[in-house]
Amino acid sequence: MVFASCRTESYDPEYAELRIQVLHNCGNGPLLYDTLIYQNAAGESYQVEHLEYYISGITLYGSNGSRYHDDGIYYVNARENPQMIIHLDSIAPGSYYRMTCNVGIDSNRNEYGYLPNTMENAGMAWPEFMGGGYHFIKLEGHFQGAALWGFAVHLGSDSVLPTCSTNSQLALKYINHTATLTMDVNEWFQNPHTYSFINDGNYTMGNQLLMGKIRDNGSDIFSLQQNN
Amino acid sequence: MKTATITKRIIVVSLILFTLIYSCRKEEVSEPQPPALTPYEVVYPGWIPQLPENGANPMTVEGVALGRRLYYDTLLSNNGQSCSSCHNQNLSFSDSTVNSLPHINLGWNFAFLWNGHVQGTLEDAMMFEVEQFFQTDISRLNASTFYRAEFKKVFRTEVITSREVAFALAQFVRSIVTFDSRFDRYMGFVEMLNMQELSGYSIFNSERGDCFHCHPVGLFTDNRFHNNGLDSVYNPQTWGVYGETGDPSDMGKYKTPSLRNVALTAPYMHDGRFATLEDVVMFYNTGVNITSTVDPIMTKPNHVYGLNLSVQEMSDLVAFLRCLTDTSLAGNPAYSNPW
Repeated sequence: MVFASCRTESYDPEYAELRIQVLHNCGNGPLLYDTLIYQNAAGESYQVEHLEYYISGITLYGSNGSRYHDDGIYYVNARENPQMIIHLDSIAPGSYYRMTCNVGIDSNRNEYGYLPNTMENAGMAWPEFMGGGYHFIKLEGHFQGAALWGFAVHLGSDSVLPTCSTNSQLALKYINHTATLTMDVNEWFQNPHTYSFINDGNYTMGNQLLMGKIRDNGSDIFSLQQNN
Repeated sequence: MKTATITKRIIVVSLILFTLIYSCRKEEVSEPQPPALTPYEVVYPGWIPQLPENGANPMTVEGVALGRRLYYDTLLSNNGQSCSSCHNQNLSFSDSTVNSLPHINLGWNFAFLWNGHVQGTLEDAMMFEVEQFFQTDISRLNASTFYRAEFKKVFRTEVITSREVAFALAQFVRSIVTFDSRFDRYMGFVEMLNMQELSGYSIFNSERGDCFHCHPVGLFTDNRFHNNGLDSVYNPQTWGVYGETGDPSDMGKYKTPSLRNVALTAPYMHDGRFATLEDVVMFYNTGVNITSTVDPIMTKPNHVYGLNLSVQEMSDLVAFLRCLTDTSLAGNPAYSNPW
């Protein structure tokens, strides 16, 4: 009985659960706000003041070919709620090698009134005159040009929905697993496009070309680390 | 034989104890219970964000009525002022002299006053008003037979404290909602806006005017604090949130006021520097100061030198803003002076 109680490794429930904490880095360390200490790939110093977005369409890819898909749409306000947790349940135990998700909301659900009418969702509304739905992300701050200047990276409209992918090994054997999903804010400005606030633009909303660059850069902004 | 005697004694003693205990509870049972309170429901359109509730202070008809009495009562202050002195119902519960923020739709707020001095719930804001702004002499309320009876009815309390006063005020202020403007009726498909107003709405809610980021349609405020480029040099009168936090990044930031009933709430900005809506639009069109803490939205490429709206477009925008006036608010008897 004593030995059996210590053998947690072999526990294999019908379903596993995964609690994902969403964190935000910029470069090599945790994201600090209002501090002009970051540099994008174009060599421009910048600071972050505001970051809110949605995560949706979380999908885990099993080593045996299976897939787990979560229908949830999660609002993240990085500054005001830095302890954001996403709870995934009813996951088939096993090994997973990849996770994908959207930053924003897929076209089937990106329409005015789809989300509960909360203050947060109301503030993320994308104007009907511009196609409706919701902002996918609002990332705002200042950068150092000739003077300290503002930037606002806003994405919305279906064609610029970023799909993010991270190759991370997950071994889900138990009821309660935890993991950390970390966004590197600096990745929004590089790979494949080196994004310059000065040369490309400091404001993306309504500019399909700029929003497209940011969308492409968003493919590798996340890393996922299993904690237990 | 001996066991039977002991058992009898135990039974007798138990009966005596039971009788004593039961007789002691008699007074509690016979005490008259106060009448039940009637829940108060705040009514607003379905397209407006859900009103946050405060479980610690559930709204009741009686609580709202008591708060309304207090709101208009100079007993709250030591200088003959009441809440209504600076929050005039005819002016959307604002005041042109002291440039007070309107007391409308405040139940959706979580940060109060132009510089965010009070954070939290409406109850927290009212507690500030009672204890710090008015420095209410609570003993005067306790000396009132009327208020003692009303507070006992609403809060089941024998002694009135600042907390109950703030809670009653919060209930009344939370009840002041205004969603019967022409724009609301347009949204409810019962009235059309004219072409000029629709043009203004389009400008408001698009990149052209870009008003919607800070004044999202619905409550027309994001409940946040922004530096909208009013000043290029700061002094204690223009510090804004910085005066509260000491954080340099907060320099010049002020609360986004709701634009509902904005035509009634002149003058404009935290210091009332603009007399008319036309002045405000002209400022955004040509006069924004770019400083290190100005909101990023204000520095978008087509905003650097202002919105570049034509005279007609500015006029259209003002026409739309005037559609946000709820003309029924001023005469709404539910919010008027009950004394």
